[in-house]
Amino acid sequence: MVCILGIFFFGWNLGGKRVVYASWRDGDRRWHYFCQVWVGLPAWPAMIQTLGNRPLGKEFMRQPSLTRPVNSGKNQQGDQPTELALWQLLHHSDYELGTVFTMIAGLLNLLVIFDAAAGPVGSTRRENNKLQPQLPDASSRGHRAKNTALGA
Amino acid sequence: MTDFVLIATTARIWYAIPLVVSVSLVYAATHHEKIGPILWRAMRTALWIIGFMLITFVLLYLLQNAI
Repeated sequence: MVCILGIFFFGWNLGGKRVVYASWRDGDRRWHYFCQVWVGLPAWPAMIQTLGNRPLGKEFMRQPSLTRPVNSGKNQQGDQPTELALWQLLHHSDYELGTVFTMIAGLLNLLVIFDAAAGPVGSTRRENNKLQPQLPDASSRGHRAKNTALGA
Repeated sequence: MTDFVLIATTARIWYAIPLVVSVSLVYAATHHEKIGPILWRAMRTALWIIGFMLITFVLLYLLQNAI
């Protein structure tokens, strides 16, 4: 859990807290979220934020706007076609790295889910079925029944 | 030679370390229950990953120089 959550939050922070959001609109199909969602609770608020009123805050895990952003202040970045393009320009390659980190965290958690459901990989095979209970064979069962009948 | 030095100075390459460590530990934890075998397998997995990264680097370097 430490590894997976650490990787997730490290990547989320690296991307300026903008890399985890849920979107399936024309012009912004965030397929990366299908990997990030497997992290669990830390990534699920992004689904809630797709609602119109954004109940968890205006900026937290929100979708980028598809309209041209308005540049203001000293940090003039030039005209960008969408807000997503502006985010990628502001964070440079950290945005992609953060996305990759959060995706890998989700996929690792998926591996852990399978491990929790089915146990360690290859453990029964290596121990030669020692986990299987020892069943009495037919001959000993028949021998015991015969002795019981004679004894009664 | 300059390319090799550039790799070390590029900060991006160091982001691979937490990734390799995490992937190795989680992968090893899915194969074992006790901490000793987990750490041992994690180390081997990390060496495998780094080895493949080095092979990929060599291939790309050769391709770059060939072109």
